[in-house]
Amino acid sequence: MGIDKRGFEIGVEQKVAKTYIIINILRSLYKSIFPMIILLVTIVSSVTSMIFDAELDATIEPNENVITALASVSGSMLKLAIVLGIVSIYIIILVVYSLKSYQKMSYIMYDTQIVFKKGIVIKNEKRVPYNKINSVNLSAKLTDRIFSLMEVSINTAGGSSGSDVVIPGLNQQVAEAMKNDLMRRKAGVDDSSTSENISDVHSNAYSDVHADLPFQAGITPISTATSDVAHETMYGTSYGAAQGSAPQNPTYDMSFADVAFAGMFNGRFFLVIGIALGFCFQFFDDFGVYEFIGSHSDVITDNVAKFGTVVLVIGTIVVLLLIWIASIAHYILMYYGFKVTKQEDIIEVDRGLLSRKVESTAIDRIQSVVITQGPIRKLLKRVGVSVQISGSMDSSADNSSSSGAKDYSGIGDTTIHPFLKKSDVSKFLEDMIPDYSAYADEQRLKPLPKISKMRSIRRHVLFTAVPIAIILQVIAFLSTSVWHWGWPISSTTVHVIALVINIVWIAYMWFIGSLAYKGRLWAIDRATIVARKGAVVRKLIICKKNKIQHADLKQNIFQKKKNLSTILVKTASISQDRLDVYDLSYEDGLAYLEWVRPKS
Amino acid sequence: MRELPENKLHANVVKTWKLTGMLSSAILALFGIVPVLIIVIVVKISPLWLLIPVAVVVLLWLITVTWVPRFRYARYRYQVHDAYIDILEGIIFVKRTVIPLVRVQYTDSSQGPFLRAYKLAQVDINTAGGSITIPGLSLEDADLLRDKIAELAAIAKEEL
Repeated sequence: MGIDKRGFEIGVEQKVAKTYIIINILRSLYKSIFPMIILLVTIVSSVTSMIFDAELDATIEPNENVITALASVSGSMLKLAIVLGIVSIYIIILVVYSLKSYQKMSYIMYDTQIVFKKGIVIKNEKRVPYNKINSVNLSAKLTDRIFSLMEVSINTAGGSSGSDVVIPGLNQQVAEAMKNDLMRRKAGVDDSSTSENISDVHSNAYSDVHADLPFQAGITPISTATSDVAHETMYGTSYGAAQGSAPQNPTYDMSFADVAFAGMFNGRFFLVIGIALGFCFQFFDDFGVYEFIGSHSDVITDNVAKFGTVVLVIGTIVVLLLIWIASIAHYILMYYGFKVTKQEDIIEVDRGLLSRKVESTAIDRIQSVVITQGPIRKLLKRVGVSVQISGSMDSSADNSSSSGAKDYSGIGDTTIHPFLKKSDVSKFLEDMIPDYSAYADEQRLKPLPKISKMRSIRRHVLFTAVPIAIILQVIAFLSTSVWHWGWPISSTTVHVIALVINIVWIAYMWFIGSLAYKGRLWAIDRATIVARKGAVVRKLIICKKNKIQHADLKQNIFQKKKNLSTILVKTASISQDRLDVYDLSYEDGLAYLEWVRPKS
Repeated sequence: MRELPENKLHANVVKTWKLTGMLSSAILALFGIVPVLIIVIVVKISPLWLLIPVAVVVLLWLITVTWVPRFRYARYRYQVHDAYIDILEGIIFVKRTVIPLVRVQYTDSSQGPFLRAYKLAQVDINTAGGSITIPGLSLEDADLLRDKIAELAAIAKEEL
């Protein structure tokens, strides 16, 4: 280790596992599955048509049509040959491409940074200095699991430093060792008090690990001359060795029942219930309408129509149930074996059944802690806990999947426990992120001034209910007097129904507005700001003063009349769950600015 | 905290804002006036209600070009203290921003064509949470401010 003659840092170039080539081919095939299916269908159809044509031509007019039959057979043969040619060329290209991209893919771990190279035509080289690492995540897709490979994604602070580095196709042990190594080096580089001495130890330990890895990855490497117990601990836990001697790291896991419960009542649940209810109303409504028409029409068709409706409704409910069950299954696949562990200054989340995921988040990169509780969780006395990390979004996270698995965390958030007992929150935070533990108690928070209740209601009613009410009323008017939709009921009834719907809707939004006001609580402590928000799903957001990048106090002309203001808390996180408080008193707003302002 | 920040922007910034306002409202006018012209010239009808979009465009023009820059300038104040930057801005929505210098990552100054025409520059203060702009300063002031903030940010220490 160190610097070579030319002044470059020395590092050993490492390749990813060879089985990655196969995975790469499999994935490319999977991606091109639809064109392949079309091609295959063409092959099959051309073969069958060939046989069919030959038979047809052989049975009728054998003498005259020999030439045309031959021509058609050779035509089909030509088609088949072309298609087979295309497929084989494609597969050859795929194999060559995968081999080449494997050859060009490598990573080097230097003393201060990791470099990842890839790309056949466009060369791509990414460098991440260890101290810029925010979190390191491991993940394994189904194809990875077949060959027990994992993907390491290194997340850095966002903005100018660019996107994340994803190193695919590493053997599971290599990936885990690499993750630990990266986090350890990050800690080592970050620590300003340590000097070359420590970095020497690091590089020794590192070279040990890498010398051993390809052959005996499961064995705890002996780091030379290190008095630092922490490093031992880290290796100890991750390899499962030396468990007796190492101090116990706080660990929380979820029972299968908990995972299943959490999966049952994620976002999908309410969607399904909502649609099912809607269909039930439709169902009864249909019966009403059919009975109305029934007095004029044939009894048999009426019964047939009723039967059809019943089948439709039951079918829909079954489909919805299946969707719900699928979403539960998906949730279980995502969160099966959930385990969160604190190791020194890292929080490690390990979860997943078919595709496993290990997320390591450096505690000092946590911008704020979010404790979420929806109505179902409230009933079961559970909460979801997530943290907002600085900068870029987690590229390997399942942002693409629209399933309910990420229901309680947005972009840039990491769930550190989706279904924690409410009574355990303080202890959990004490174990995981001690700085935040004292603030999980909502008793210490204070409400907004009474005047802002009306403003909250007005915001909800004006912006959501009133525009829709106007549109609905206009449609009711136009459909009866201009478009003549032919309602089976009188136009006055249409107007009254529209009016009733609007009144109910406005009343509902009124209610939501007042709930949102009740949901708003906040407090500023010496070094912490806490706020709760949400009408139905309540989120308690805790943020440390030293994570606030800048502070805003806003006041519009309406707020000015009532001496209210809005405060904005800007952290380095890009999460949508912002700790902004609307409509607190102007004095409190000023106090917030005063609190953020450093005293010289 | 109740006392306002001391410094105002360079007076010429109003002119650059007027130019920007003209440009942006010209684009808006395209959407407002071109359809009207098409109706009048191609369809050859000129009902009275066509005056409404024209009036809206003219009104927006007046507001963005005359009032907005003036009020914005009147309100805008900034001050760089030892440990933080204090900015007051906004017309209808008044906003007060505090940026602790410890959080400043880097500063830069830049000029668009309009600012350049009036020998002005803007200073961007970048934190991990985003960038905040002080819009119109004379070139020397911008250079001084940029360097001063960078220096203060370098020596700023975390208070505990």
